[in-house]
Amino acid sequence: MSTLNKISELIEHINPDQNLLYKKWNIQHRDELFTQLYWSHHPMTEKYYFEANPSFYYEYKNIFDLGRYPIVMLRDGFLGILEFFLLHPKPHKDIDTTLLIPKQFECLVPKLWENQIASYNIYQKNPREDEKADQIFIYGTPTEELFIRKSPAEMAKEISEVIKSYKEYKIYFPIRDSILSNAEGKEKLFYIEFVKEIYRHVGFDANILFHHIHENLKSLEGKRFDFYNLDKSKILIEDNYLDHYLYSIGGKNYIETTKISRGLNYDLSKGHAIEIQEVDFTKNCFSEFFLNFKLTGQRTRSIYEIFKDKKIRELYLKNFS
Amino acid sequence: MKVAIVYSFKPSEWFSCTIINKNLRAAYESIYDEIMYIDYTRKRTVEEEDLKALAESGIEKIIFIDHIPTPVDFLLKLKKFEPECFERLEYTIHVFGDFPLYMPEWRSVFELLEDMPVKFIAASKKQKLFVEKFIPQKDIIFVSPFPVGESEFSYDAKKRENFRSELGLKNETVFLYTGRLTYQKRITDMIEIFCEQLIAGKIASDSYFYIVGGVDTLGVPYLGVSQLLGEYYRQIQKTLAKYSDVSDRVILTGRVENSDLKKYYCMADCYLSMSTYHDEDYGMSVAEALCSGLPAILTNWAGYQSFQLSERPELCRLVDTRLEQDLPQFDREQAKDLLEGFKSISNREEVSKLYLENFGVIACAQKLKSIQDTKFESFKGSSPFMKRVTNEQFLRGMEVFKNELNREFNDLYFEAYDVYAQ
Repeated sequence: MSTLNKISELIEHINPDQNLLYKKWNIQHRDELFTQLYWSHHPMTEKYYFEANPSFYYEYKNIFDLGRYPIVMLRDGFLGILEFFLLHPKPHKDIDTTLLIPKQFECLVPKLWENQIASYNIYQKNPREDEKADQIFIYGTPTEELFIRKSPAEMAKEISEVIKSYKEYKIYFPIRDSILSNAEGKEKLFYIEFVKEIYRHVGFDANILFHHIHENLKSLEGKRFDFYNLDKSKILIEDNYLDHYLYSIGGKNYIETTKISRGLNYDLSKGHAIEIQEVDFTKNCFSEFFLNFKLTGQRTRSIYEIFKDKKIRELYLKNFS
Repeated sequence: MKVAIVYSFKPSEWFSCTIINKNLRAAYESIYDEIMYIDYTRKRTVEEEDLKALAESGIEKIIFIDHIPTPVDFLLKLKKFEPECFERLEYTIHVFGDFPLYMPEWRSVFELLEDMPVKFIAASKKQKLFVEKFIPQKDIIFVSPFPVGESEFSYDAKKRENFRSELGLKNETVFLYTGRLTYQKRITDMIEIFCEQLIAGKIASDSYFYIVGGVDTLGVPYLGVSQLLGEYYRQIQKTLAKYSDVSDRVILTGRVENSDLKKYYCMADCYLSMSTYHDEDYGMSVAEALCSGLPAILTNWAGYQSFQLSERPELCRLVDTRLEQDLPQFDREQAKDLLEGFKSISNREEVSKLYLENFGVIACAQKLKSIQDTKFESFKGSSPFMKRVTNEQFLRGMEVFKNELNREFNDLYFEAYDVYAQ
């Protein structure tokens, strides 16, 4: 049976209460630091439903906990996916779990995983209409990982460009500490820098929301609006709850996301769907990262260490720009 | 005459409650020359200046028209800051579907208002029966439907023609559901019934079922069953996948602007809802559909029963319901038969007129006036049953009606909700 056929069977016959992590009441995070990270990025990390068991790698206590589930769709960005494969370059003989990983990080998959893995891509079913929406909702968590490719000033400038063509806009970013940063990064207080830059580029009456997100999102339901996720680097989170929520209440993604090829397709809401396809191993970059890991002489690595590693940051920018 | 009306100036999270609120105000404005509106915020605050103005105004009647918050904090502040005014007033409280969710607060309201002149207004006959379980004085509980705006909902043949043409429809029969897509509204059951009748050739093969509304995650809070974002949508998709040959006859539009609903009601031929939602005290969408001249097939559940008019029962057919351990059930075979026997009607204007005469703002204003014209009785407090439910809710919160051993309803639930299924 091909991997895709196996995934199709699993999705069709899943027992939600038993096979989906988010239907359990007793989720145990890998460590306390991840719990802090989870809440520092909430609501982006909030749970949602899909039969492929979307969840973060650190939401499992360890690989054996993950191995209790027939299918796991990793919502992680670069850090979680890389850590997983650095520590598990080949499938564990006692773990039969089929993994789904984000399409854009498929080059991190070691070839030995070929029979137990597929990639996913979440896309907008219908393109944004020619007739533009009146309002746009812009969001992101202004911690260090958001500014890997662009500085706060560059990102604020980008926002000022985006909102120009809309009558109304809302910018949502919760003020949170950079849990992943080192001491120097923590002192930078990225959110203050970002607020300053937004005021500089957008104006001092910029409509920024720091909390009460629920009420503001409710008011968008049924209206014609676009949304714009500032996090394009996908360092920590690939699969963002707010994207799902905004699609499901009728929003259109400002960044066009389209269906890539013919794979398994599942509707997730009226506005968006997911496609699952075979991993393409032709442009693999895992060995570069793995070699770097081996040269350190370490046997373990965590997402926190990976984030602070300058060499890995260089390799990330080289491979994913 | 002058009255005070209390509500939250900030719209409710529940869109239907915001509409109800607006229409109740319109109804009262047609009864009273002068109304003092007081903002009792969603955060349970009220300005002391507003209370002072109320005390100085000489107003003798106060009407609460919002679903949340319950009047408890308003009454506490009024009693504390303006005790004479508190004693002077006659109280009218509109009861909404979420009444049983806040029993401890209502218990405090009832204690505060004991021996005061009070009237409660339910939105339907079955809701009145439900409320009577908590308030033993039947004669202080009245019924007046939540009003439908005449200018917003009525039949418009031109709108039907234009919208049908826009959708590429000619003479096809269109069944319609509008409202939230949530587990207790039984969307998947309706899809199954529609598709099965279509496949069996019991309804015309070119029929459509339009489902208009956004999906929510409510689940069954009483049983501690909540849903995740996207869960119910996936259940709907799985249901549609079972009927892949005819699933293209089911159209999910997503949520639409309120101003667009009228064209859906005018375009369709039959409104369909098999809801067994626990807070279905009334059914604003159903009222709007019927006022747009759209006949309906509904469950005989809670407030829906009020929509069947004795003079024209054929315009609103009801499907039997019964309480069960895991969820109230409706008679699927009867629902299928009603779908099979459905015939489109031609006199839509007449139906619209009839329903507006019963549920429009003007009609409701008359009912509210006659309620206000009756003598206020002194309120004697809550029933022993309410005390039981309140104590249980103090301990168990939202899961007050859940069996402690499994995900089933307990005896208290059957005692409370039997009137909704009668």
